[in-house]
Amino acid sequence: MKALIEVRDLVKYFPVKRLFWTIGNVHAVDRVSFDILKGECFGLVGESGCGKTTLGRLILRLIEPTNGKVYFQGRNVFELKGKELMAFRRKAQIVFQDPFSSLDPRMMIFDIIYEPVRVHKIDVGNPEEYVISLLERVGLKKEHLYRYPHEFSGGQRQRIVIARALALRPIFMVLDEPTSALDVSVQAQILNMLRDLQKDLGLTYLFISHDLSVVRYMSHTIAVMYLGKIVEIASSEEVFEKPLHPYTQMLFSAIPIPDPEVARARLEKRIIPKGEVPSPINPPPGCRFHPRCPYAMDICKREEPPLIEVGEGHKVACWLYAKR
Amino acid sequence: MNEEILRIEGLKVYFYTYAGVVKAIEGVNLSVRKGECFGLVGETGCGKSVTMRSVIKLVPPPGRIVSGKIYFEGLDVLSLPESEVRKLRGRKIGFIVQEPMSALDPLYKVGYQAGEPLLVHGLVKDVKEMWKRVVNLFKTVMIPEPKERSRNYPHELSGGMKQRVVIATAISCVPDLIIADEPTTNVDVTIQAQILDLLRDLRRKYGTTLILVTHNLGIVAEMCDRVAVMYAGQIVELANVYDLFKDPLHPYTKGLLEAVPIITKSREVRLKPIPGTIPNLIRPPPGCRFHPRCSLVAEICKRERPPMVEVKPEHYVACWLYAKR
Amino acid sequence: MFKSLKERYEKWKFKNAAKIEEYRLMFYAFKRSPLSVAGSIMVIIFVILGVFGPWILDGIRGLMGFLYSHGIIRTEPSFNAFDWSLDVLQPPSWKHWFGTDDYGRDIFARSMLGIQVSLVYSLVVLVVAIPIGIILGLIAGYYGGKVDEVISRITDMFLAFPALVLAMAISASLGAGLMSAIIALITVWWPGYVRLIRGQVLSVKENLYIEAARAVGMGNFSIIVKHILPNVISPLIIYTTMDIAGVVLTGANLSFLGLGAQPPTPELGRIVFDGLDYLPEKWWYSLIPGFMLFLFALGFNLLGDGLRDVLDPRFRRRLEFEVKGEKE
Repeated sequence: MKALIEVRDLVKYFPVKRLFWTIGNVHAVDRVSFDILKGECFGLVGESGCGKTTLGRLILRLIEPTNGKVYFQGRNVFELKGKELMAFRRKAQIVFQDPFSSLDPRMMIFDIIYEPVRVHKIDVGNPEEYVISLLERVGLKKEHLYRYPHEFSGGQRQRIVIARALALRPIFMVLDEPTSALDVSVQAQILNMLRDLQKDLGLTYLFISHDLSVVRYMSHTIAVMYLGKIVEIASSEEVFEKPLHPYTQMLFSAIPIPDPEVARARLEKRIIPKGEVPSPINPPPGCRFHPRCPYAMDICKREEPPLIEVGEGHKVACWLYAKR
Repeated sequence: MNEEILRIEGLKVYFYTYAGVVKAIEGVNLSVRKGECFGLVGETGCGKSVTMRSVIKLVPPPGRIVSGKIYFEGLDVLSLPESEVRKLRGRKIGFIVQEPMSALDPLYKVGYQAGEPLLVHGLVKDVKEMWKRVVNLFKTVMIPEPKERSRNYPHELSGGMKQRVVIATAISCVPDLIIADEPTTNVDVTIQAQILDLLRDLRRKYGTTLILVTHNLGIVAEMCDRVAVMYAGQIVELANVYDLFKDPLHPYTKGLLEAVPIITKSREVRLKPIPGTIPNLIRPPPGCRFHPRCSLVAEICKRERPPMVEVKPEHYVACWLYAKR
Repeated sequence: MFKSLKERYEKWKFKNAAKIEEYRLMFYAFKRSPLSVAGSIMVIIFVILGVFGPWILDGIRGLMGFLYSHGIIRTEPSFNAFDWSLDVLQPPSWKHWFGTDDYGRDIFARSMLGIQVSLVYSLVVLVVAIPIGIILGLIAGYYGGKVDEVISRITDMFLAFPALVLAMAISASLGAGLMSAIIALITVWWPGYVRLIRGQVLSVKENLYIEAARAVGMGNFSIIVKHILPNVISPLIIYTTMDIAGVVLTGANLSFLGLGAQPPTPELGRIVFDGLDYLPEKWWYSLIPGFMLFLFALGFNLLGDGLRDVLDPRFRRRLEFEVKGEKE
């Protein structure tokens, strides 16, 4: 399969200012490289502050990088201008976490969903019929066309957001924690719908979440992020059956499983997470995970481990597996 | 072992809003045994937090306890005067609140806040003794460098540390019952694991009864002995944790278990969402409140509220599938 | 023909049902608060008096003349606003409803005309100050960074001066008069709006729908016009309504200090100022126009308060249930 998106050495620092001086940089994304294959769902997981949201926004060029490149269909998105940039915007869309602030409260659903089409001046035939077809696609009805966002529940709003994203017939979508504000029963509705849409429309997803179970359910490939770095990438099955990086292992063992017998058996051999995520401002040298790592060695404190391939499409950045 | 520490009978809590009367809790019965870990699960707005706040008579306005009885260690809490209830709060019943970020007053040192219940309930002679106790307390909740940390202000601590301080506050007077209301929402999984571990540890050490209010079925499975499932202000199922997960009876419980993605399940196994949304509790559906979303709905469900019946020993369910009509 | 009309009406209704519902709720929200209704009535009266003051005065004069000539009333009230007369400093009576001033002019007539001056005054000030505020506020709030820094610091400089002192300085240096008072007030007034709009923009900007619009490929200008501006309008309306009273009062203050409207132009603040020498014996001279000024300000403030409720969507949501509950 061909890569739709190639991320190469992407870096994003946010300067931290105190009064007039820059006292440091938040290393939100630090030299990250990976490929997203056409038609797959690429899952990005990590704890809060690991830079996963920033990474999603960088790929869509909603923010400018400090350094690095993102190739979309072979073109570096940070060099696109004018018409080409608009064409990119048309093909790549985003769904945000908070369905309550992602809809303009003063616009009706029709206008919200049709706005992108208007911006891009695409011919879709009868606007009303087009929007209705999108609404039906995401499980809403014609009656909802001329209503305001406040009349909808969180799950319905998220459906509207998805319909807006679909309006431009994109080929790639960034889903930034699309269900973390929703309840379990509604979450399942949205997740299933997203999976169906992907299959029916041949979409490529970048699925960002802190919830490993959700990522596991959605993704073909999974990348684990820690403090601005990708520490492990592998196929969904592989990551869950054979996690290699100590951080990945720790994450997995921390998840409570809704089955008392399994959960309690897991408790016995759980690696109790040590400490907390350090500040991303001037992060620890060497491997960023070393202060919390049960296997930390000398080299981990000095040198950053490279992300190397250890098996078929399985990459890990850890000195346990790298040649020194 | 089977001694009861808390019993709630026919609790009704209504919220009198501009919009109308929200029937948030409609006849909840449950009893919690001494020393157990009792789980209360349900989705947003099902009334699980409100139920627990009723226990310490702290239902936020415009909510009011309309009827029902709450017995804590044999005491009829709801008929006690406010001054007596105040003696329970913090002293006998520790409450771990949901938001560690806003649970601490930014103007006071965290150590002072954690030790304040000791002062209030007169368990220490003076502030000096309180500080000594606080350092021990911080050791108990495994805050590194307890002496230094207790002198910090809330904004100087991370989210996980703040949650530990909140827990320290709740256990400062060594209460008989700890109520933890979503102790790990908005907290990362690794920190969540640490907090849950701490709670388990405390229970082992002091034998405290713990009521865990959560929406996370995983946490329940890992922590609790018995579980009650709430839906739209009512308890729909109550059972031992093993029975509940192995053999859920109520269609809602079944639905929940099938709707939640599980990390050990292959992605090929499709989730089965529960159709529809949570009902508006101003005008809740008549009969069984779950009936509009239930796939096994019968005529009677639309008319009459199902009674709570003991289907198997210690396994109660409120559903017409199991009740005699 | 009729059928197509009906169809079009149905279509229109389908499209606008939510909007109509919203307006109905706004109306309901407004109606249920007696204070805002009172405020709006006061505002309407004052606006009518402001716009048609001279004609209304003529009308009253004509009516009174008619009644007098037919012997229905015994004395004809005098509505002499400009000419000197010998009825100096008369207390309120049937002849002079609000009494007379030290030139023997009728205070009722002068107050009626004074409202017009005050209203025109405040409208001119706001019509100039608000657009400046909107444009600079939008730019500062939306773009941030250095642009924001420059605009904000300049506004801060203006805001750092006590408004009245600054207005006095400008007005005095331009020479006393209505025009220079207006210029002075505009100079003092726009920074408040820049700050208001900037603050609102900063909070609206945080909403994800702004980022969504950017992701769709909308340009900055369209985002500002289509998504930011409509969302800062309601706080602006509320603020403006309350602010009209503020302008009128500050303008009155200027006149009161002898810097605004010059005699013989009747202006409420000026009348209060002139009457000050005669307090407390000739109380009507200052107090009655002062009371009208007070009512003017109060009316706009009450209206603003009412609008705050009406334009607050959360408040409307709460009401929504109430209205629907009644229907069922």
